[in-house]
This record gives sequence, C-alpha cells and structure tokens, in this order.
Amino acid sequence: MTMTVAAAPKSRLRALPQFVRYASTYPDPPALLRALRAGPLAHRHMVAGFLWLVSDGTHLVSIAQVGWKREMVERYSIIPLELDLPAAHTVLDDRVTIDRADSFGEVYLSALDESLLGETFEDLDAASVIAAPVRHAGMCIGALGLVTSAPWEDDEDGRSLLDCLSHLLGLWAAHPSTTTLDSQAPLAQREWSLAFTPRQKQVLGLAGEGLSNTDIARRLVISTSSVKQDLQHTMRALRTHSRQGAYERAKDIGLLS
Amino acid sequence: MEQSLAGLAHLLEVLGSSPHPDVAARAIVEGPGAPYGAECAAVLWARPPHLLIVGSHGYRPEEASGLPTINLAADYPLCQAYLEGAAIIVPHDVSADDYAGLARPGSRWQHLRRRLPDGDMVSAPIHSHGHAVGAFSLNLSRQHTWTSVDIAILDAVSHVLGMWMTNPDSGIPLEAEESMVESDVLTPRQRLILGLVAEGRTNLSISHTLGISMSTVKQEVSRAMDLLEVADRRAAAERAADLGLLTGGSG
Repeated sequence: MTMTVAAAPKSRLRALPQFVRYASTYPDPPALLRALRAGPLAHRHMVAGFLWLVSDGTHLVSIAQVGWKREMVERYSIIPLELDLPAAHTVLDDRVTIDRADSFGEVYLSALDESLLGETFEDLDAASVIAAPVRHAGMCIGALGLVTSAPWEDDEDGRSLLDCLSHLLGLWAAHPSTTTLDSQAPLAQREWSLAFTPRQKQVLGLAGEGLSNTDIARRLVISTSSVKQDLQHTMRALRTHSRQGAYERAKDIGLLS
Repeated sequence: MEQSLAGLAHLLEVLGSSPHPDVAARAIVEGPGAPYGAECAAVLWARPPHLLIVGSHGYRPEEASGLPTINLAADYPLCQAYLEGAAIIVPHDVSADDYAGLARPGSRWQHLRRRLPDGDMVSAPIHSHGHAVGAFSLNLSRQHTWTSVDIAILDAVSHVLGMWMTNPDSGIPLEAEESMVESDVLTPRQRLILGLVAEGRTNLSISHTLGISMSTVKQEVSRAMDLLEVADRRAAAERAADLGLLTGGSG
C-alpha cells in the first residue's frame, strides 16, 4: 500500500510550488512574469514589473515586462549600472531594496521625468517599489523590479519569498532551455532610452562646451531660467553637483552621442 | 507554512550556487525536509534502464548499499515515483512489511528501519521541462500526516531539483556513456585519469598527456568521484586503487 495525494487546495502557499512547476517548463520571459503576477505575487498586489539581465557587465537589459505603459518600457528597457537607481544598486550590492512609491518617485525619478512618472505611478496606484537580485551560481546576473498596489509587508515571509524568486529566476535564466538569450537584443543596437528631453541634452551639450547660461539661452532662444532648470534636472538625474560633472557623466554613458 | 517556504528558499539558495550533488541532498534534508523530521536524502538521475545515484546525505554505508544504481524494473518506490511521475509515500508500517521484511534479507530498508523505525519513506520524481529526469528519496525519523499542501511542497522540490539537474552548471552530464550504466565500475578513460591523479598530476598536466580538454578531465574526475561515492579526487584515486581498478592505468 502506497499513498499518493491528489491536487492541493487553493492556498497562499500553493502559489509558489505551482509557479516553480511552471518555471521548470521554461516559459518565455513575458509568460514567466505574467505567471509571477498571477501566482505568488497576486496576494501581494503586484501590478507591474520588469525582469532585467546584466548585459556586458555594464547594463541591465529588460527581457520582460508586465503592466507598464509603452513609454515606461521604452525608458526602462535599458539601465546603465552606473545610474543611481534601485535596480542598479540591487545588482551591484546583491541585495533587495524596498521603497515606498512616493519616496521612490521623489528620490530617484523626479529628476528624469516628473510628469511621466507621476502619471504612470498614479495610474498604477503604486504603493511599493521593490528590486530583487536574480542570482545564479553565487553571482547576481540580473534584477527583478516590482511595483505593488499595496504596501509591501517586509516580514520574514516576504523576505523569503523574494529570496526564493531570486534564486528560482536565476536557475531559470541560466538554463539553456530558456529563451532569455534570444529575446535579448544586442546592446549595441539599442539606445539608452532612460533619457533626457532633446532640449535637456542640447543644453547639457552646450554647457559642456563651456558656454555660460546666458550664452546658452541666447543660442537656443530660451530664457536663462529655463536653461538653469534644464541643467538642474540633468545634474540631479546624474547625481552630480556640477554642470561639467553632469556633462562628462552623460557623455560617458552615451547619452549625448 | 512559513517554515516550509523558508525551507524551499534554503534549497534554492544552495542549488543556485551549482553545488556538488551531495550538498544538494543535504539541502533537501536541512531545507524543505526539516519540518518533517528528515534524516537522510538521495538524489538519483535517470538513465533508463537505471536510476543512478548522484548525491546523498545522511546515509550510513550499509543503508546506502544498493542505491548507486537501481534497476527501473525493480519493485521499488523510487522507481514507481519516477515511472508514475508522482510522489510515493510509504508509511513506516508498510515499509516494514513490504520492503524491510524477511523476504528481503539484508536490504537497505532493514538497516534504515533499524535506525528510523517510526518514519515514513518518501520517494518523488524529479521533473524538468515537463519530463521526469530522476527521483529523490527522503527518509524521515517520524510519521507525518500528509496533506495536499505537503505534496505541493514535494512537487516544488521536484521541479527545483530538475532545473538544477538539467543545468550544465550542475556538473551532471546530460549524456551518459553506456559503459557507466552497464558496469558498476569506471570507464577505461576514468581509470586512466584516476591513475594519473594517483600520481599527483594536475588536471592540466593530465589533459596534455591524454590530449583531451581540461574540462573533460574535470568532468571525468567528478563523475568518477560520484561513482565511487567519495568527496575529493585523492580519495577517488585511493578508492579506485583499493578496488584494483588502476592496474595498467597508471604508467
């Protein structure tokens, strides 16, 4: 006499084993992310997410996203690791970051594009922004970015769930049967899309040539205060306190080319 | 339930670093197996018509005897689990009657029964890519009332092990050489390599001597270690020498 038990009843716990089972069939990255949203993260109110892998050791390249508007996807499909964003920190420090959506917007993103982000976050009804490393063979090979509509409970259960996902996604991503490599377009053919407005680039370029605010204003036929404002945006976004620093940083990461 | 989730996280963490299969077996015992009172575990890889052990933790030598290769045609819960693709749990009283009984003198079950008289025996398939690719066994020190949630956890362990086992980083070769299955001992090349290991040669120097790549050498040594159930290369060479496998191998 042996004993076999049939399917499990619906429970919070069951969502994870079921997701593990699905992951082991090596679905394509978007399907995996959708399954994550419908499964283990459903009762944690995940509304949107990105799955990035590290490319060339310098960039995070999105291999899947769910729940975002097209503009956001375009902006965040590539993130240079030098950028001061939680996803980049998560990869470099190999740790989970959990932010409240409002403070996240203030600290990290307002400088880049206030209006777009404000609207998108409101549309999403975002409460928390979470970035978790994707680990394989003792290395961080990418990141999972999540937005939830309810505040993320940072309890032991939540931590071990994120830990599970980090390693499970790592196993999945490193498996030869996954299609992650196919879906990852070569970095060189993509432009960094987390970008400034054309005007901001223009102003920064002229500032880098050593022009004064007044000169730039005259050249572009705009007011000096617009010039100042645009420069301030770029400096905040690039985490520098000088215009020259912003220019060099922007040039380094290919923003002005 | 939180305990179970933490156990799965532990297993995943260990598997994520591409461990030796023995370490994987240990992680099953200490991770998801811990809440059930797990004492020992084995991970087996399917090369029909056999199941080959690739890693184990917690068994004593006499209990592990008979595990290294299991004929899939045998009347054995591990084989059933593999063939049926579902977890098979043998309650302690049944295992005593059916598997450790007088009809099977000296079987590993009798030894296990002596040490774990009240525990259930769990055998489950290992799934990857929708197929069963192996099986694992878990021996518990106490009885448990198995609910469908427990089975769901076993299921998750099955799939996680499958993802690890079919990943090239796991070190488990995807293609087996027939000789590995047919004989219980080493292939001629493995003997040759272990002979050179016994002389204290490095992988690089062995690869030069034999005109094969270093990764082949590494793979062969690690396979031989698995087959001989030892944890390091020197022990593999010693064991092989003890078994008389190296004559003619070393120069």
